Amino acid sequence: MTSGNARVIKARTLLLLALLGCQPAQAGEWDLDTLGQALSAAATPDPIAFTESRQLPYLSEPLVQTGTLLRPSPERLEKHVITPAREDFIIDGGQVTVIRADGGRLDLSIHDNPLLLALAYGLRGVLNGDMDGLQRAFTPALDGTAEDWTLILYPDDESLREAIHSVRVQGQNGQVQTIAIEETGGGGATLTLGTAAP
Amino acid sequence: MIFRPQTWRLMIVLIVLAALTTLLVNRINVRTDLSFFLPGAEDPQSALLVDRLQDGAASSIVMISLSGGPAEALRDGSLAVARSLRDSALFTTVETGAVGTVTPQLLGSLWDRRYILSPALDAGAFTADQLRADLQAGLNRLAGAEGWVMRDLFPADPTGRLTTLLASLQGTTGPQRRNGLWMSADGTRALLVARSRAGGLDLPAQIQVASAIDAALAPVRASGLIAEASGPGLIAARTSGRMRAETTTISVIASAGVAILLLWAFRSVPVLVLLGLPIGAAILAGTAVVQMTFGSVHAVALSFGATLIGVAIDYPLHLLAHRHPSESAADTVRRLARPLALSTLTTLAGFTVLSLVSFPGLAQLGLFAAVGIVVAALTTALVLPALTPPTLHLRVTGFGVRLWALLHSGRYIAGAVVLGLVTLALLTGQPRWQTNLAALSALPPAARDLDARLRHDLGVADARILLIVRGDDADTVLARQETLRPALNAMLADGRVGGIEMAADLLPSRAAQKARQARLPDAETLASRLTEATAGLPLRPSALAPFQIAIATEKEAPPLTVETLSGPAALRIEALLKPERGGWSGLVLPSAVADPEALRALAENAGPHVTFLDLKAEAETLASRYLDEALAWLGWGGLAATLVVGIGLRHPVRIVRTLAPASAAIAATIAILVLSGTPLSLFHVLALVLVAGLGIDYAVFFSEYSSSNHDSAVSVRAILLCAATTVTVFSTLALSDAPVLHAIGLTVAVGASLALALTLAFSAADSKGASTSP
Repeated sequence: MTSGNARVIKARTLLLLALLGCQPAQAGEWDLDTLGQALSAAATPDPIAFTESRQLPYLSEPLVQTGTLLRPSPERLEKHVITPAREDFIIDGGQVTVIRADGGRLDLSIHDNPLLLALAYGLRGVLNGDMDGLQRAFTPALDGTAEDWTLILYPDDESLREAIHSVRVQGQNGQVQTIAIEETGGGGATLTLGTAAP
Repeated sequence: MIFRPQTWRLMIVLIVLAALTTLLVNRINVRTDLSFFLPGAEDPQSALLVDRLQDGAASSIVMISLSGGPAEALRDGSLAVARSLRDSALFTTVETGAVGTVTPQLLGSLWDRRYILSPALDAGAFTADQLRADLQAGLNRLAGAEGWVMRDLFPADPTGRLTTLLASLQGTTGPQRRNGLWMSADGTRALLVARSRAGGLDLPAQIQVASAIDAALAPVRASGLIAEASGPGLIAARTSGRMRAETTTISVIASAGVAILLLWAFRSVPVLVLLGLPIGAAILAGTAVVQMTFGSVHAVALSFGATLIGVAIDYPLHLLAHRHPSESAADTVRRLARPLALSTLTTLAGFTVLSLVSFPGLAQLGLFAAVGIVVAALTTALVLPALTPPTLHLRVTGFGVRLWALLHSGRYIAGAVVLGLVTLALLTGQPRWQTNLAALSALPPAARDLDARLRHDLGVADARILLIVRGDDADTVLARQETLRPALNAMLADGRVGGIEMAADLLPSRAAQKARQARLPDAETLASRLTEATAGLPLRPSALAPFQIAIATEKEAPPLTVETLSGPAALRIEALLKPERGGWSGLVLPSAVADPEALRALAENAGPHVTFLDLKAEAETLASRYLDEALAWLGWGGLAATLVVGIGLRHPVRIVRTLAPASAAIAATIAILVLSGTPLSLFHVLALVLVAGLGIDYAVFFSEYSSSNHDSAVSVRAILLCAATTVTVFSTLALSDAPVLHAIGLTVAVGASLALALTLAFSAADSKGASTSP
């Protein structure tokens, strides 16, 4: 509630500063609102290369996937896996679609599974800088400076807390570098975002 | 205040009647299911149909759609409805299309016995090479989006056997999923499917189901969404409720109309009680005799039988209307004995024949009406005279005689009109017979459209074609279904059938389970092959221990049976496999059947244990048999009535005079129905019999009194009053939008008017002479 007001004030300040021909002082405050603004300002419809490493207690080494992320609109997030096997993972609103290389198709809702919900809100929220959306599912804690920040998301939902411990997002200014999901059973996944793929 | 003796006697009779009614009400067993329309159990094919109609997997389905809101609201609504329906415990399954979190506990046997239950488990499934390929594919899926869902299941099911099993059970023709829910193709309606525990034709249970559905949909509707539901049971429950409400309204309006008419005609209140007495006694006696004979009374027999007894109100009317001012009621009865007996016996002849037909519903109706007619006549002759106040007389107006004179002078025109109608109908019209049982029901077109739309959205076949597989026990049925599999698969492959649902897919026979168990590797073999298969894969050494345990457990497990099956498979199999008298029967439900003849041939080749059933065709055959029998009965009844009239009158001219108006009225009514394009049903036939009874009644009383002018004038008034009450009642009935009631009402109202007009027009007496009498 207060963040909403704070955001309005912040936006006015920005506007004022912009009118005065000044750059907003990055060295000043670094909080969720400024992070959100920086992230949404940097949000791009261009493909972003990623590497995802999945660790589970029964795996001797992580499973690695590579591919591209695409955000055609704030509601939609497409994850196109290229290696080791092609897979399209699309979150659009509340709908989750998985299309496998063999043509197999899975239609799910983010509500079908708490992990899917965490993934959708976490990934989409972070990449779009949608702090309000993030706070619908998580309690965030921000640490560090604008040049090197860490955002830790703790799940609010009971069933989600049983599945994951936290989501740890690291970045520089508006650029997200890694998103690490830490699972309660000892497993986890780390998504490393690279530069835009050709 | 001092009462007349008649009043005292009337009160005593009413008390006796009330006591008898109370006594009876607690003893009769009124049935409201559709069994009225179904034949007795002596014909095996029909018995099968009845059984399937009453307790089939197809009849227990309830389809629900939610629309008129954003995707999130539809989702919340759909889940809330599902929760509410599940809580009611009236349903075996409630599905929204939502997957939810898959846990071994929820899956029951589907998880515990996934290797025994899933079909594709060939000999090569457990070679090191195949295991390695399956494990690699499993790991790829684990790395991807599905990994989040199958994370915990992987160690016990690394080759994704569960996914294969669930996919094979899902079927191919379900609705599409969007936002994790079943949605209509245009994406505007969220869809749910529930199956009630009770069969679709178990009306009392379906009324409960309907109210559970209304309760579940109420909060969703309150939130602004449009919620609609349909299904065979729901339709039956709603129809019965609507029929009951409508019948009540119609009875109130008709009774009020008749009461006003009688009050005007007699200027007396007690006349209503006097006229009601024979009718009340008739219904009471009819109900009692039917209950004693059949062990229950069907609601249709009761309500329609009561309409047939409507002809009986004419008896007390004749008594009161024909009485001379100076005459005692007992003397009037003596004077009227002959026509009263003749009229009663002709009507009785028809209904007695009806009570002999093979359909229990019709037989009940016939018995009910026959007993009622006799009791009404006897009450009129024996009880009424003692109760009739000496002052009660019919108001005398000149209207009847003037109408008679008018009709008599226009008799050639009337004759020409009837002849013209019949000729026209014979030349142009082809009578259409209504053989669709559904059309006989009181289903409004809007409900039928909704049902069709929901079935289309959900891809639920209107299960009209099915195979029934029988055996001494459940396992024999399952084994026999398995032998049908290759042929069914061939039909699935070339599209002659879109999908197949049967018990053997949920639970293999013992033999099939044993065969699958034999293909599972023993512990040592599996261990060594896994060592080979997992070399170089990123799995810890003991990662797949749960998988090894699962295989070892299933290899040794006792076979699953209908009793030990658990989880969703157990719920689904309930409707597909059932014990029946002397064994078990299992349904094979094909959907999207493009070639029904291929299925029929398959069943015929499969031997005596497999029966092909086309419910719609069966029901149509049944309806036309019903109709044929009713028509034959109409013929015999007509003959019997003619015989009675012949014996009673013994004079050819008088016989013709008595029978001709009724016959002509029936012919003209049929002509009107045919010319208006109305498909004729059983209920039209029954209504025509009633017209015959009324027509003969008018003619008998009129021809008996054509001797003296004064009596003719009285008789005209009497039969005019009889006809007026009949037309009032049946015109009200014709206002109903229930096809059955509308058909009866219109037919009788038209037929009775015609019978009256023709009787008056072709009377032997001189109407001009009558009009000059005082």
